[in-house]
Amino acid sequence: MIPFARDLDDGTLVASLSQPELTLVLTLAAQVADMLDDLARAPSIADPDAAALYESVGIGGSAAIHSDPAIARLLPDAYRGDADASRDFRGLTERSLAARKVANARAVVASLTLAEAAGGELRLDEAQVQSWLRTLADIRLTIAARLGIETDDEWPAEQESDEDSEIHDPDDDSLMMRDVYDWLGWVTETLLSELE
Amino acid sequence: MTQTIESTEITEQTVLDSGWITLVWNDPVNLMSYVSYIFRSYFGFSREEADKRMLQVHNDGRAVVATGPREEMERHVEAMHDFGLWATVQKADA
Repeated sequence: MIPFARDLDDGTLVASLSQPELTLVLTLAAQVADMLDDLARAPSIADPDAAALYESVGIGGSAAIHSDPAIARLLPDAYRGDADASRDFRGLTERSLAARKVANARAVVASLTLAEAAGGELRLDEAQVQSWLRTLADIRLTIAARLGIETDDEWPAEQESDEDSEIHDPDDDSLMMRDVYDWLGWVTETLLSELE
Repeated sequence: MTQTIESTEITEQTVLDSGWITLVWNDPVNLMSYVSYIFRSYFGFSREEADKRMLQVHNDGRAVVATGPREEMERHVEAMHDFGLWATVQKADA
């Protein structure tokens, strides 16, 4: 990847990604969108009048924090130790927050689809930069939740000893995901450095 | 007389309403540069102030980033969740 740099003619940020890099980010962003898509939608209500009313009010949301640790981290409780207040907040905000995260992830997918057609040149306007920053954070939070990372130094590679290596080391996938996670952090840094 | 009472009520209401804070909590994922960027771009903090609060989050595990009415603090928390930061609302004296 050639890091982001500002095009002085139109102010967009331009980077160049290899095909594997494009495919990787596109796949991960699409997974975040798919993961949150159900929560971003209104539940199906049979009565059309009730459904229309529900849609116009624009509220809804889960009764409690999600059991999937990745979704729980992306849509966390707004109050610590106050389940009622957290539930009320969730009812007013969860759907729209999930919908914005899905829209950001899809904007990333769309920009990468254009980049694929442009030989890997990725060009982002101001709004797309904001979608990228948020989606990169959501992807990294999801990877960390999947790997069970809860403290600053808690990475599988540092915890495991390789005394009993087998034909397929079960940590291979985790180690690969850590590389992806670190690389996505570097992409975020190159974006931020152009925004200063 | 009436005016005095009204004014007292407004003052009390403001005091009660302002007693809420927005807290941002440390997490092992979000980059320090990203957290500082969010504090500057969203809250309008200077670089110095943003870095100070970001380091507070990093070193102390959390930092107060806003104080005010409950509804306003809830809007801030939703915006922080939008960025992927872990934020909560609570009463200032809790």
